[in-house]
Parts: sequence; C-alpha cells; structure tokens
Amino acid sequence: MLQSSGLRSFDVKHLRAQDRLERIGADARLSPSPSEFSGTWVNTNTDAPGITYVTCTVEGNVLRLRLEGNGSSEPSGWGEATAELLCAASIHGGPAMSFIAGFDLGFKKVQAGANLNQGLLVIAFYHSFQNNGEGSRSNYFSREFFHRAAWS
Amino acid sequence: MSNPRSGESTSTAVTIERTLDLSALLGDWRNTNDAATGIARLLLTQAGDQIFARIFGAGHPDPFDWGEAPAEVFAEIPESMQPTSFTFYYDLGFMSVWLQTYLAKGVLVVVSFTRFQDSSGRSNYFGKEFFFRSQNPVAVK
Repeated sequence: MLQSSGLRSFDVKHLRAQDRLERIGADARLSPSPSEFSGTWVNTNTDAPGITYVTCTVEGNVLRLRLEGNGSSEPSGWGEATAELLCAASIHGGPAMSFIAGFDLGFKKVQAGANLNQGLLVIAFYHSFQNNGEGSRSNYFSREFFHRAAWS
Repeated sequence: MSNPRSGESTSTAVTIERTLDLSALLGDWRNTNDAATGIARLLLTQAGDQIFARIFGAGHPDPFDWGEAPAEVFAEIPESMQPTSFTFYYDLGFMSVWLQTYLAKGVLVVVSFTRFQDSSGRSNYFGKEFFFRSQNPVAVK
C-alpha cells in the first residue's frame, strides 16, 4: 500500500526520504549564490557545436545568460535570459551548481537545464517548436558541454 | 518555458503526434540504486494522444506516490519520430520540481531541480538519478 501524499497540503513536509526536515543543516541557504557560473564558457565540441558560447553574468543572486548559436542549425543570437531557478547540490545549501532557464526564439521555445560537473558546464536543451500541427519536425533534445574560456 | 502542473486539466498536456514511436520510453522505470533516497520509481504511460509521468519517492515503509503529471517528449533530432527524452513538472504545494530526462544506452537519466516553497529553510537543490526499465507489466493500482 502506498503512503497518502496529500499533494496540495502545506503540512506535507517531504515526499522523498532525502528531503526529511530533520536532515537540514544549519548552513542551509534559501538563495544559492550563482557566482560559480560567472564568465564565458566555450563548447568542447569544436567540430559541430549547436551552441558555441555561453556567457554568464552575475549580479547578486541573479544569473543572466547569453547564448551564441552556430548560425546554421541553431540561430546565432539567442538573446538574454535570466535563470528561473538556482539549485545547490543538496537541501543543506551551498553555492548554486545548477540552474533552469527558458529561451523564446519565436519559432521555438527552449528549456535549458544546466549543472556544473568536474569543471564543465553541462547544459541539456529541450526544444519545443511552436508550429504544432505542421508535423514536419519533432521537438528535440540536445546536450552540450562547455569549458571555461581561457580569457574568462 | 512549459510548466505543466500536476492535477490540472489534461488540456495543459502537450499533444503528441500519433506517429511518434514511444516504445523506448513507456514503462516502469526503477532506480538502479536499491538504497536511493530520492526517486525510487518512475512510470511513463500513454492515454490517447497524451503521456503522463508518475513518480514514487523513496520512503519507508512505502514509497510516496506523487500522482501523475503530463509530460512532453523530445526526439534526438527534429527529423526523428523516436523520442528519447521527456520533461515534466510537479507543483506539490510545499515544493515544486522540474524533471528532465534522457535515454543513454538503455539507462534513463533523470535530472531534478527542486524548489522548496515552504519556510522549512531547505535549499533548492539539484539531483541526478539513473533508472532501468523493469520487465514487469505496469500495474500501480
């Protein structure tokens, strides 16, 4: 038998064992700092990158992103987006090591989920075309890896 | 950004093409780590032209059933009709969770972005877990 989750109730404190309240440390922070992302990131794939550069700008606890596409399979200019959610590595807090951001390119919307791993910025892109009904293209997923620019 | 919310009208679910081959994704996915404290199990089912994800959080003595959430599927390239990833979203009141997935060599990688919306002091956090597809028929109720 499954536990009753009470999904809409605020008195529910956890729905995973790892989220139990008694595990909270004293250093838990509500707004992880995104400073680890600051700078320019270059795609590790020099042959066929979809996104060539990512530029991260940090102001306080706000992270802004600018993406540069290859200009062929992906548009060159993606404009600027602000990270909608910054996440630490655990409920105990610490610096932000991941984020979610959304881009609206008109003909498609892209949800990006990123995380830092071994010095790399790993970004998963979920592309949703806005021309539902034409049926000629599928929404698609891509995942790219970026290293810090030497000048960053 | 698409934020389908659990429990809302199914009209918020993204309509999928009937010609998409979902066979690689549909089913009962179990965490590769028996001692996982995050997501123990994930079901992906199809109802008509929509698909739904359902999470079971690790818990004792029984797992926590998060209920169903509409999911959006993605192929590897725009020309493909075989989705290899999907995303979905839960707003559970005290927390909301964005989930992004992708298949890699038969393993379903599930990445979660959790935002706590209560006053518990828990930090928003990132998680990554790995799942294999169970050979057992999907049966929940």
